[in-house]
This record gives sequence, C-alpha cells and structure tokens, in this order.
Amino acid sequence: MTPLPSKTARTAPPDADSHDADSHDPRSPAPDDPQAPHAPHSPAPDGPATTHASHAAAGATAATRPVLSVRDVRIGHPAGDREIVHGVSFDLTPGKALGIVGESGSGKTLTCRAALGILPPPFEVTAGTVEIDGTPIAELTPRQWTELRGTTISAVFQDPASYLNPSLRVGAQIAEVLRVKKGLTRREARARSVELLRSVRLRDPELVHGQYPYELSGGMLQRVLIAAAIAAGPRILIADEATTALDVTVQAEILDLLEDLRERTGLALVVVSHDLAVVAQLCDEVLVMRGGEVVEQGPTSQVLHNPQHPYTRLLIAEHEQYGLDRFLAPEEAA
Amino acid sequence: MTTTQHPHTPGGPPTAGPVLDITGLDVRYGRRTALRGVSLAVAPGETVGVIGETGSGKSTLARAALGLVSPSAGSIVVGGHDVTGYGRRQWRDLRREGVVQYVFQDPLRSLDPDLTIEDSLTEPLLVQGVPREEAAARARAFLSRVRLTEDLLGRLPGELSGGQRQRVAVARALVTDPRLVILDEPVSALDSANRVQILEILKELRSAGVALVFISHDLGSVAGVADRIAVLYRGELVEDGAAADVVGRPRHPYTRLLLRSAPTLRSAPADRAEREALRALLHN
Amino acid sequence: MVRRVLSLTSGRIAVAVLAVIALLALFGPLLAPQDPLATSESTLAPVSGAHWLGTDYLGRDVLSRLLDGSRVSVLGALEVALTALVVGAVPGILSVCLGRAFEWFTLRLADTLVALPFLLFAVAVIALLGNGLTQAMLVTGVLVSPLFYRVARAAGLSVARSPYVEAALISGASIGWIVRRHVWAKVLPPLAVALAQTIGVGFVIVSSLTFLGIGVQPPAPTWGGLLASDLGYLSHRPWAPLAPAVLIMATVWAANLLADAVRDVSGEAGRALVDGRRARAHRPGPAGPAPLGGAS
Repeated sequence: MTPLPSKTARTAPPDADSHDADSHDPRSPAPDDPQAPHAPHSPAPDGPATTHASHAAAGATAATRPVLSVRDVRIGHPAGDREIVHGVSFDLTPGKALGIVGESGSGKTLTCRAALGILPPPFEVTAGTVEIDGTPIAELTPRQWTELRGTTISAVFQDPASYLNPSLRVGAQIAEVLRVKKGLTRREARARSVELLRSVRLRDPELVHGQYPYELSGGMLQRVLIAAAIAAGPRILIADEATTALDVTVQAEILDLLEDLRERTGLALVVVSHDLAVVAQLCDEVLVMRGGEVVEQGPTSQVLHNPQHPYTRLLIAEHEQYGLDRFLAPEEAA
Repeated sequence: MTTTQHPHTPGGPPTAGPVLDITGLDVRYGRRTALRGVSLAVAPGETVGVIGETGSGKSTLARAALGLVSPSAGSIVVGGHDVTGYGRRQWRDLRREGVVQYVFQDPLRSLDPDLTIEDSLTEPLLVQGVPREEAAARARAFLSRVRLTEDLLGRLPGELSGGQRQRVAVARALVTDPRLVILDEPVSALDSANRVQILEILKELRSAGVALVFISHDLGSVAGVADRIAVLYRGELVEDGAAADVVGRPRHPYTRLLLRSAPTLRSAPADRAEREALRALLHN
Repeated sequence: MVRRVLSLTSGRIAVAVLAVIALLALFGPLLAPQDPLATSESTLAPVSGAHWLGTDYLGRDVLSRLLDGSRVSVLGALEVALTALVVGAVPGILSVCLGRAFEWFTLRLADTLVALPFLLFAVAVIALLGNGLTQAMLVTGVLVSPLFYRVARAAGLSVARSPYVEAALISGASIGWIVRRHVWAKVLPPLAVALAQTIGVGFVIVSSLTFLGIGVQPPAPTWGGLLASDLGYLSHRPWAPLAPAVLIMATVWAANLLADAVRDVSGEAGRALVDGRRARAHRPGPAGPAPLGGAS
C-alpha cells in the first residue's frame, strides 16, 4: 500500500497491517468513557442544527485528529435546485463510533455514500467538504479513490447477499481483496482470509472459507462482508443499516463484533440505522436526521436523556412505551 | 355463506373456550421438522407475542392455525371448531365466517398491486357474500380506525407509503370483525413513526377485545403490547408466560439471550459478556 | 388494456395495419377483380391497367390471387395462435393450481413438444391425417403451445406464491375467485404478448407450409404459395415476389409491434409509462395534442 498524497504529516505508521487481530493500534486514543459528557468541545463551524458541538479535539495530538471530517455537506441535484441533504457536519476520530439515525429518505444513506464517494447519479455534493484522513475528497482522482477505499475507508450495507458473487466461494472473494489491495500471494491471501473469518467470529472459518454465499445465513454473510471490508485494514468502517434485515439475536452479534473490532483495532465506526437503540448501543455521538436535516446532534447520553427535537423524543418514546425499556426502566432506576 | 353479521361482538365469545387452542402440534416439511410438540392457547381478547428467530417455526405455527400447512400430529381448535382434520372445503367455510384474520410482514406484497385499496379492503366481505354497497360502506368505516382517509380508497398500493399500506392490511384483517388476528412481523419493515402508529392501533384493538397473536423475532417490539409471551426456539416452545414474568424472570437461556439482544436505549457493557456466555451455552 | 395499447403510437400503427389485413381477409376474395384461378394467354405480364400487379406463369391475375389468398393465410395464422393459446395457457394456469401429478405430466409433455422438429412433425402428421389447412394449423398450434404453457405457468406461479393470494385464501376465497380476481389480471398481459407474437410466427409458418405445398393444394392461392411460384420465375420477373413478401412482412411486423406495445403497457411500469405520456401530453393545456387512444 502506498501512502496517500496527504498534505499533512502523520505520526502514525501508515501501514494497515497493524490492524491485525492481536495488535494494538498506536493511533487509537486513550479509551475515554463514551458516556462522559465532559469530552473536549471545540467551537467547530458546525451545521445549523448542531447546538451541541461535536467532540472534535482541536489542538489534540495527531492520534486524535479526525480520520473522517464532514463539514456542512449538502447533497442535491446539480441541475435542479432540489437539495436533499441540507448540511451535515461531524468529526470522527479513531476508535470512536458515530451513529446516524433517521427514517428512509432522511438523507442518512446519501451522506454515507458521499463520504465514500459513491453518490448515485444524478446526486452530487453541492457544498461543504469531506476530508478523509486529512485529504479533501473533492481533490481525489479516481485512481486515488480506488487506493483509498478498502485501505482507509470501507463499508458494509444491508442485504449482504447482493454484495457477494454467488458463484464464487466466499474465501476466494476475501482473498481477492487481499491480493489486490495488499499484494499478497495466493497462499498468503488464503491464510490471511481464514484468519479474517476467524476474527469476525465465524465458528468454523476453514469451512466457511470454502463455502458459497447461498450456503450461509444472513448473519454469516454479513460477517463475511465485514471480514472483506476490514481485510485491507481500513481506519473507518461505515455500517449502513448493516443489521436491519437480521434477527435481533444476530443483530446483537454483529453489533458486538463491530464494538469488538473498534476496541481491538481502533477502527472508527459510522453506524447508520433507523433504530435509535441500535445506534445508542454502540456510538459515542449521535446524529438524528429527518428530511435531509440534522435535527439533533450530540453525545449519545445527552441525546437520550435530554432530547431537544420532537422527532428524537418520538424515537425515544417508541422504545419507552412499546419496547423493552418499559420493563427495564425501573430496574435501572433501582 | 349468506349470513353477513355475526351474533357475537368482537371478543364476546360465543363459546367460553379459547379462540385458538393448539395442542401438541408437530409440523414436518419433508424430513425437516418445523414444529415439535407445540401447545399454545389464546384466550378471547388476549394478546400473545410469539417470539422466534428465522427458522424457529414461528411462521409455520401461524400458517398451521390458518390451515395453510397441515400438521402431522397434534390438534388445533379455532374459535371452538376442531380443525385438525379439515379439508379444503371445510376450511373455506370456516374462513368465510371471518373468525381469524392474518396480517403479513411485507405490506407491499400482501396487497394486490392491480387492485385499488377499496377492492382490497372489501375482498373479505365480498367473499362472504356481503353486497358490494354494504361492503364498501363497512370498509370505509374501518379506515378511520387505522388513521387513513377516504381519498386513499381509489388509489393503488403502489401509490401509498409502506406505513399506509400496512395500515390498509390491518384494516382488511379487521373488516370481518374477527375474534383473532394473527400478525406476522407487522412492524419489522416499518420505521419508527409508522411502527408506533401500528402499535397504537393494536393497543386499541386489544382494548376492543380482539385477541392478537403478534409474531416477531424481536422481543423488544412485542413486550410493550403483549399480555403473554411465548418463545419458540428450533421448533419447540421453550417459554410461555405473562409478559412481565418472561421479561423479568426468563427461564430459558435463549429467552435471556433475546432479552439481552433486543436493542434498548440503555446499554450496559455487562450485557455483552452475558450475551457471549449465553451464545456459548446455546451452541453446545 | 386495449385503451392503454392504443395510447401508444406503435400500438396504434400495429392495430391499424392488422385491421387492414383483417379486412383483406374478410373481404379480399370479394374484392378480387378477376377470377384468381382463371388462366389467360398473357403469361408473366408486367404491371398494367388490366393486371395491376401483372400475371403469373399461367397468366393468372396476381392481385386477385393475393386478395383471394389472404383469407386462408390470415385464418391459418389465427388458427395457429388460438390453438396454441387454448392448448397451452389453460394447462399452464392449471398446472399451478392442481396437484403435483398434473404439473409433472404437463411439464414433461411441454418438454417433449419443444423437442420435436417442427416442420418435419407437421409434414408427418399431414401424411397421416391427410392434407388440409386446418389439420396443418392445428398441429402447428399444438407444437407452438409450450410457449403459452410456460408463459401462463410462470405468471401463474409468481401470483400463486404471493401473499395477497394467501390473504384472499385466508378470507375464504375459492380458487375460482382467486383466479378471476388476482391471477387473471397478471397472466393476461404476458399471454397477450405471446399471442401477438404467435400470430406473427403463425403467419410465417402458414406461409412456409404453403410454400412447401403443405396444407393448401396448388390451384388455390395463398401468400406463401404465391411467393413460391414467383420464385421459380425470378429470372423473368425479378420484382414479382415483392408483393406477397411485403404483405407477409408487414403483417408479421405489425403483430410483433403489437406484442411490444402490449408488453410496454402491462404491469406497474406500463401503467406509469402510459400515465406519464398522458400527463406530458396534457401539460400544454387544452390546445395540446391529446392522445387519440386516451379518449377512445
């Protein structure tokens, strides 16, 4: 892997191999309490609705410099005046998790796709900037984009089956990523892909390696995709409704896996979901989107305990009135 | 079938027994056993949540109660009729009484894309032999109960949002004044706002005395509306009790895993370790 | 469905051409200016006032022969298509509703029919049953019927497995009700496409068979037969096969155009397409070009 033509110097070694299952990522910050409301705030130039400043740690060490920085991004049709996403801003530092909550059509998926540089035409980023590891993506050539995806930023989506080739064994598909992105030989790639399948906690990685996608359940497929997504050791993983179609127990397994990866490798997560609770389980900071607008943004505990916008309150009320929280609330108070 | 109105009001039992009484049910698909020795009774006006993961047999249970799959052992009593050995014609006559209705998971595919909302809503009544005018009037009356307006009647399902379609599906299940409605994952495909709306409608139904069987993979989405919760795991009923008991004192490890897996607003790091332990326990 | 087809330009053209052909088939023999079988001295005559399309090698008037032959040709094509429809579509729908045994049997039968070499089989049956157009067409129809069987079955299957059919079943609907209310509307458009296509195919088949001398005996004129006899005298009258060939082509083309139009307007997408066109057409206001078909 060649380092990106980044204008800013990085103190951390730019090799992706440090993301091995057992190694500690030097870039990951000291584990601070995710619930801590006293995270260092900065008067960042945020979007209109961001009353609670994001936790961009300005002036901190390079290790806590945001690996993904989104500044007032607006997305729309370039021809018409129709704007779909009206300004989203957030910073994501290594080892942190950011949640985006919203119903379908709220712009959460478009925002992610903008960060990945895969906005479906005719949509375009009409204003604002996205910086990945300090590099504004607007300046990236297609070649640089290819370089960046997988090695720095990666993603998993809903419906994992459609992202795998049904006629190839899943192991070969992960090995392909390794051979293309990391230049491994066939033998190395095989060994490494089995290792990756083990690291996503598939029960029998050797067996799964030789299986075809149709032989695996939805939860297993999503693990395979996560394995492929982290194969080249990215620093950011975007999970866009990655657990929506799964059974709730399997969803919890996947979320636990993501949490585990974040702790072990310092992976920065963007978790997108229509369910506030899914995001709340995993994320330090939450963005609530509705109709392309960020209606609420802040540390998770603050959003949960002191929601400002009626829509956020509705999302919370759903769980409190109809969900398990109805039963759990007194238990917690005790 | 010419009688249109039933003597009983919804929930008012003509017989004192349960609206659905399943005993020792076995269902096999070929060599695979989908359900093994499942017993479940639903009292009039009761809301029972049936929880299970994909392949647990929860949909098979519903389909057996509706006569869509035939059991290989056990008995099923629906609204006082022992339907265990029913043939096609007997089932048809029973269904035309409109005692049991069903709401599907996918609101897009459970409505015929070529029929207007009015046609879909009136179908169960027309099948019963209710005159078209009366059927239309009754369908109209149900729209407000599911918070829909009359201008939707002339539209096609494709012109409605997912939430609206699901509410139409619920309304269609209600037009025959059923005593029992079985809902298979009715809110899984919906976002929060629509989910809350459907759950509110179900709550109203419950207070109106309609018995509900609410099938879901997520204990969390059922806990808020169910009186009783039954948990299916690999074709067997592993837990059946009052909702508060099941949530408060789960007996089976799978129920505990379900509880710890359901996304809640309160996240505790301890849950993760507990989930791990339960998974290990269940897989051995 | 008819209205929606007519709202497309291609649909209107196809229907217009087919209407003309149908009129020819109905009244052609009456319109023929001369006896199509009467021979004359002027063989292989060029186009003239007396013989608008010239005469053939026996001095018979080509125009009269074309007009007279149209009925047999068009009727033959229709026979093929309708036989195929009935023989294919009905078991196709039933194979979804009736049990496994019927399904298995009809599927194997359809496979067998597809495997038969078609012209050879037709010739063999004619040899057995005697040479007549109706026999030839019925045999052809049966041979083409697997298309309808498969189309009807595929459409039926996708409907039968849909939750809305189950919902109707749970409400106590009978099989008849479900077929009428849910299945029919889904099966009809693909069948209409197949039918229009088969009319085109049937035309080619009738023409090929009559070209080979099967079905209709030599003195009686058909379009295919005309083409065959004209080809023998290509060196004397190189333009002669043009008239029957153009007629055959136009009919087949129109039938296929109709098939396309039917396919375009069926289903959800088709409805959107037609509605979109209508909306665009109406946007300029009352002065705008209102689609002809929309009002019909």
